[in-house]
Amino acid sequence: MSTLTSPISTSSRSTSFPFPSIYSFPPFFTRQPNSQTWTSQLSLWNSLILAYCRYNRIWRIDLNTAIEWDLFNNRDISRSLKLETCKEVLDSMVKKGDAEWVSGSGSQVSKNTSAIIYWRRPEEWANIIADWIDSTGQKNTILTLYEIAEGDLSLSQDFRGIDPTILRKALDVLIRRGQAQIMKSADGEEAGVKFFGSQ
Amino acid sequence: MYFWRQIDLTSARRPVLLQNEVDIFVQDGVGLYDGRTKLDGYQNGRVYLTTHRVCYVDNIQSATHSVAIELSQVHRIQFSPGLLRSSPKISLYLLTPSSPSTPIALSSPRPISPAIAALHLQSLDLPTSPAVSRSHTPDSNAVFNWICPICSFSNAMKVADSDGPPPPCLTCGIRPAVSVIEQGKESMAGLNKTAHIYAAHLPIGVENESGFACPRCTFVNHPSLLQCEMCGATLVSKNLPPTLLDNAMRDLVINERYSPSPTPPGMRYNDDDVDHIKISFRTGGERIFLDKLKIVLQDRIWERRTRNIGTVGAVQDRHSRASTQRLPKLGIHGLEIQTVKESQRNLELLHSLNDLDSLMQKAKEMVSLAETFAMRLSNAPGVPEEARTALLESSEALSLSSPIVMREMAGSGDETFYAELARQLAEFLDNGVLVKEGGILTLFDLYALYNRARGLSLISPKDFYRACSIFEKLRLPFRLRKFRTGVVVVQEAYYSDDAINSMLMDWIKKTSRQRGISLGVTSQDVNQHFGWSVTIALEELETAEVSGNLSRDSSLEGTRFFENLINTFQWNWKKEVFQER
Repeated sequence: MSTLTSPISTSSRSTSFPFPSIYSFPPFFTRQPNSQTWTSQLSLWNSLILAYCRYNRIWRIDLNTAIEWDLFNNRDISRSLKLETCKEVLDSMVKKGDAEWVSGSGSQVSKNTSAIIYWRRPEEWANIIADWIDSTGQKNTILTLYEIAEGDLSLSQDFRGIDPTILRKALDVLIRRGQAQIMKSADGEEAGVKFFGSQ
Repeated sequence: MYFWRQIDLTSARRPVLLQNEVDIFVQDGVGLYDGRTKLDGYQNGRVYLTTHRVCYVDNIQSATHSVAIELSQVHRIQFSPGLLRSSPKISLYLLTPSSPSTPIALSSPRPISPAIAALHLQSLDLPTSPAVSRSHTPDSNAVFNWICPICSFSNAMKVADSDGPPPPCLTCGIRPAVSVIEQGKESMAGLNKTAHIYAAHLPIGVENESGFACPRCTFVNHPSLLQCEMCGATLVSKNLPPTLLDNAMRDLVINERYSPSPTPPGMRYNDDDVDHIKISFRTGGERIFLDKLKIVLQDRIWERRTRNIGTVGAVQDRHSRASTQRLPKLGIHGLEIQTVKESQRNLELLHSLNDLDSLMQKAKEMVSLAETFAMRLSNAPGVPEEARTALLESSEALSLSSPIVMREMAGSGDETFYAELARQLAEFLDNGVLVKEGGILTLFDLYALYNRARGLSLISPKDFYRACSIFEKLRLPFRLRKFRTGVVVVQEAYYSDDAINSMLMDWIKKTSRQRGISLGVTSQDVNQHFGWSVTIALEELETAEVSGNLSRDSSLEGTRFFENLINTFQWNWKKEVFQER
C-alpha cells in the first residue's frame, strides 16, 4: 500500500512531457493582477496540471514536494510558481471538481497541502472499471481493492496503480448504481468488492 | 474697429508681448464699443492691460477676434460707473490718425504727433513760446536742458548739438558724460508728452504779464499764488522746471479725479463719437483696471525702449555699439573702460544680493547676466560639454517667456487668476518642457519646474492644481489625466489614452519580436524609449495591463511586462498530449 499513497517520483518520467509553449512564457509563472487575465491563467494551469498528472500517472499532489517538480519550475527561463499561487490554482481546481483536498494523515498542519487530482472524474473511473469487469468476465466475483489496482489483470489498464481514495469513490458510484457491493470481513474491515453485471 | 489692430496670440491664447512689454492686469468678461456702437463679436472676452497696449482676446473666436490698441494712442480716459442694467465702462479717447496731421505709425514710440499737440495748445489759447512749441518737435533747433552732475547747473542745449561731443558746463566748465545729455533729452521728450496728454483737460494755468489765469474759473491770479483765489483750483505754471512740472502733473492726475470744470474734458470729442472706444466690464474689475491704467499711462513705459539704464543687456548693447562706432580703444583707456565695466557688474551683483527686495528688482538683470555667462562659456574652448548644457538648461529654466502671473494681476474673482495661470502654464509647457519629457509630465514635476521658472512669488499647490484642472475648459491643448493609482499627469490633449496605449503596444510588440518573446520590457525601457519619467512609464504599463493588453512577470530581477499571451493562448491538452478525439 505504501507505494500507492506516496506521490510518485516524477523526475525521471516527466522529461518527456510535451509542455505547451505558454510554459516558456515568463508571465505565466506570475500571478496576474488583472482578474480577466488571471482567470485565463488559472484555466491554463488547470489544464496543464491535469495533463501532466495524467501523462505521468500522478494521483496526488503534495505541495510540499510537488513545488519542486518541473511542472512548477521552468529551469530554462528560471521561473517558478510560488507556493501561494500553487494553492490558489489547486483551490480553483477543487472548485471545478478537478481536484480534492485531502487532509494529511492525522496532523492538522498539513491540511490543504495535499490534493487528489481527478484527471478522470470518479464517474469516468466507474465506467472504465465496469467495462473492464465486463470484458474480463469477472462478474459476480469478489476482488480486493489491491487486486483492482495492482492485480495481474489490470496491468495494461488506465487505472493501474489508482489511488485507493479515488478507487473507493469510483466504487461508490458503482454501488449507487447497484453494480457493485462492498464485502466486509468478520472483523468489519472492508475486504473486497463484488461486481454485478449491468442489467 | 477703426482703432483696433489684429494681434498675434500665443498657443495658450494670450497676446504675444512685444519686447520689454509686461502684463499688468487681466479681466475676464468684457465687451468692446467703438464710440457708442457695440462691436459685434467682441462682447465676450478678456482684456489685458500691458505696459504698452490694451489687448482684447475673444473667448470664443480668439483666432480672429483678438485685437489691441497702443496705449501711446490714448490721450484721455473716462470712467462711467454702472447704472441699473448698464455695466461700468471705461472710455479711452484716442488720437485719430485721420485728424489733420501726419498719420501715426503704430510702432512709433512717440505717442503724439507734434501737429496734434500744437493744435491742443492753440485750442486752449495758450501763448506758445517758440521754445516750448518747438521743444516737442524732433527738429534740430529744439532746446533741452541737461543738469551738470558736478554743480547741478541746468544747461540749455540744442538737439542738433547733442550728437557731437558734450560741451562743457557753463558754470563749472566740466564736460559731462554722454549719458547725462541723453537723460536730459529723454526727460524733455517725456515731459512734453505728459504735458500734451493732460493739456486737453488738466488745469495748466495760462500765464502772462498781468497774472495767472485760473484754468477753471479764468480768474487772473497773482503770479506768485499756488491756488486760485476764487475757486481754489491748483495753478500749475507751464514755466516750471521740467521735473517739477512733471511731478505736478502727476499729482494732479492722481489727486484730482476729473473735477468738474467749466470746460468738461471730453466736450470737444463728444461731438464726434468715433474718437474713443469703450470697454464694458460685465463681471466687475473696472476699478482696479482703471487704477492700473492710470498708473501705466503715467509711467509711459513704452517710451523707455532705449533707456533701460542699468540692465546688463542695455549696458552691453551700448558697449557693443560703442565698440563698433569708435574702434576698440587700446592702451590705458581701454583698460580703464574694462575696469569700469567690471566694477559696474560687481556693484550690480552686490546690490542684488543685498536683500530679497532688490533681488526681485534685479531678477531680470541677473537672468540676463547668467545668460551672458552661459554664452561666453559656450563659446570658450576647453569647457566640458556637460557644464555647457547644464548652464544652458539652467538659464532656460530660469526665465519664463512671459512675466509671471500673479494674483494681483487678475481681475475680479479667482477665476481670472486661475485662467491666466493655466494659460501661462500652457505656454510654459509649450516652450519645449513637455517635449523634453516625452509628452507626459507628472503634476508634481511640472509644479517644481514651473515654480522654478517663476523663481520668485511661488504659487501654492492648490492654486496650481486648480489652474491645471481648467485646461480643458479653457480649450488649451493640454489636459490632466489621473491614473488608477492616483498619480496625476499633464499631457497633450490629442494624446488620448487609447492613442498612448496603442503606441505603447506597437512598440512592445516590435521589441519582443526583436529581442525574443521571453524578455519583455521594463519601465526603464519605456522611460528610455519614450522619454517619460519612470513613474509615468510604470503607470502607462499598468494601465495597459488593466486593459488586458499586457501581462507581467515579477521576479527577483524586477517586473517585466509582456504582451498578454495568456488571454489568447488556446491549449486542448487532451488532443495535443493524448491524441484523444
